[in-house]
Amino acid sequence: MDSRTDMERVLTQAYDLYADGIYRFGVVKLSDREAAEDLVQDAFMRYYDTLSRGTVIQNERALLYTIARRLVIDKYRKAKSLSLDLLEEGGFEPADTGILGAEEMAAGAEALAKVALLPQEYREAIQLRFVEGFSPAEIAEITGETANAVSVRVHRGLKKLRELLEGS
Amino acid sequence: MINRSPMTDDTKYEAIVEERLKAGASVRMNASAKARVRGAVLAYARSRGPVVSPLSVFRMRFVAGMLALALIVGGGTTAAAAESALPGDLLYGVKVSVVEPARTLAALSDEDRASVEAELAERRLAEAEELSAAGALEDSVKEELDERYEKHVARAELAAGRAKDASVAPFTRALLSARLSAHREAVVAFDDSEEDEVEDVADATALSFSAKAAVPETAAFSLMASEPAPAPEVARAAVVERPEFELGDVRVAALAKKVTSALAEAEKRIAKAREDAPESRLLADADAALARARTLSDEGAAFLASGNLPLASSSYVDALASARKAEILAKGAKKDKERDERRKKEDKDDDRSSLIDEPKTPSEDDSPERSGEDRSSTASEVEVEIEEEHGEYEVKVRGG
Repeated sequence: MDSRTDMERVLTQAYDLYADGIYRFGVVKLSDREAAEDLVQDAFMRYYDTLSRGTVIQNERALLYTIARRLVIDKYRKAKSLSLDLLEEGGFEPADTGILGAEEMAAGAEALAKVALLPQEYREAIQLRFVEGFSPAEIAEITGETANAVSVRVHRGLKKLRELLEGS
Repeated sequence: MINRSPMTDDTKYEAIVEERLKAGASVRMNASAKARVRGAVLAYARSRGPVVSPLSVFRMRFVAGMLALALIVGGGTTAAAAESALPGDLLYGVKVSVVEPARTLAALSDEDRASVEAELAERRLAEAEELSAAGALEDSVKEELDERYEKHVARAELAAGRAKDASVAPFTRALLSARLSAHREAVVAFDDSEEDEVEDVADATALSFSAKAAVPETAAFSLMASEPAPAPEVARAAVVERPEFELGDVRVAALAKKVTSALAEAEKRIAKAREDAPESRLLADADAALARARTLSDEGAAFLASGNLPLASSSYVDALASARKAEILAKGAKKDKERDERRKKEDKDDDRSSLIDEPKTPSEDDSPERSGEDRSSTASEVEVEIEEEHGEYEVKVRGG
């Protein structure tokens, strides 16, 4: 990465491709649209910092989720009063999607709401696996677990989701 | 039931869920939010621009060496060119991304770190004021300063909270609060004196206010945000107890010491301003602020003597704010004059380029933080120079 314009190009390309995914990640994690937008902003700023340090990036998409994940953890650490279970109690507010039709919007929001129904431990793995389409190995890269542990988590999360859906 | 082995069942179910969950990917950011955040991210990238290339060409060893140098330099005593750089200057990136972080690294304790961060927060306000006074405070720059300011305040708060000594947090808050109200009041005073710059100054005020609103909501900070700036000429009716600044006697004594040195600094500045810009309207304001600071300081001493620590803290915090305000106004008087002269010159030769050509010498006046007390002796011992050539930076050290 030698020049500034190159880095800006990499940054804006990554933004255009992945901002929505990071936003969804934030929406499920934080259950707040504005907080999710802030998360997108912070994540891409940190991403730029990483670029500017000249770090060689293998998987920029996975890196972005890794950054976003850490930011969320930091956020919770700072605001201890914010319960991790807030999501389950407060439910989930579907995002305003702008250009989408009502039907598509409802299906999308419903899917994310399902993810948000899950206990904290499965939410992330299920979202990354099925909504964002990451492989277990990539998820492992993001969360710092082993791919095997991720597979187990995905499997259990799926079971849990099924229980929840069939139970209601 | 019989022919449903768990294996195939799971696989089938996974396929159904996968299909349903996939729909989640259609949830997107609102288009205007997406554009807004994109702009903010890009602005951030650009603001970091100048630092980026030198940092990436530096070998780690070199960076480490440079940080070590900055460590030697300690509290930023050298008049390194970067220290006085303003947003938009080539060296500003070096200032905020190399020199200043090195100072926070150099801080040995959480308390030191809190005080350095608080000082850096004040710098951002001072930079906004300076740019605003020159009519060059653009929105993007304001946002950037706003953001940096918030970061410093949050970090100061964090470091103070981490300190083992429980009195660090209220002490840091007290100092931060004193500095902020000093700037806020000074901006109001500038406002009165510059009819045609009112808009810019109002911008600067908005900066400090919006920044405060975003600060973590500890009692002290939310109090500061809601507290209206008292009119400088109005005499204080009564001293208010402010539990968030409640300090033990050691801290109150430390605060008193800071007040004494701030008073001395303000006196010096005013004397200098009286020489440089005897006719400035801001001088009277500065005098009034200094007088008020003295009264408050005496009040603080009286409360301290009678053992009323809460009221002593409160008086000293206000005294510190007022002394700092006097200092800012005195500096402003000089800038005021420079601007008047520049305007006259412009009227004369109608050359707009002189607006941009304002010489920016790294004089002492440009640095918002120089409270003689803490750092003075090492000033001339080490000198660091950062030179830019073909996009690469070279660091030279002299003396020592």
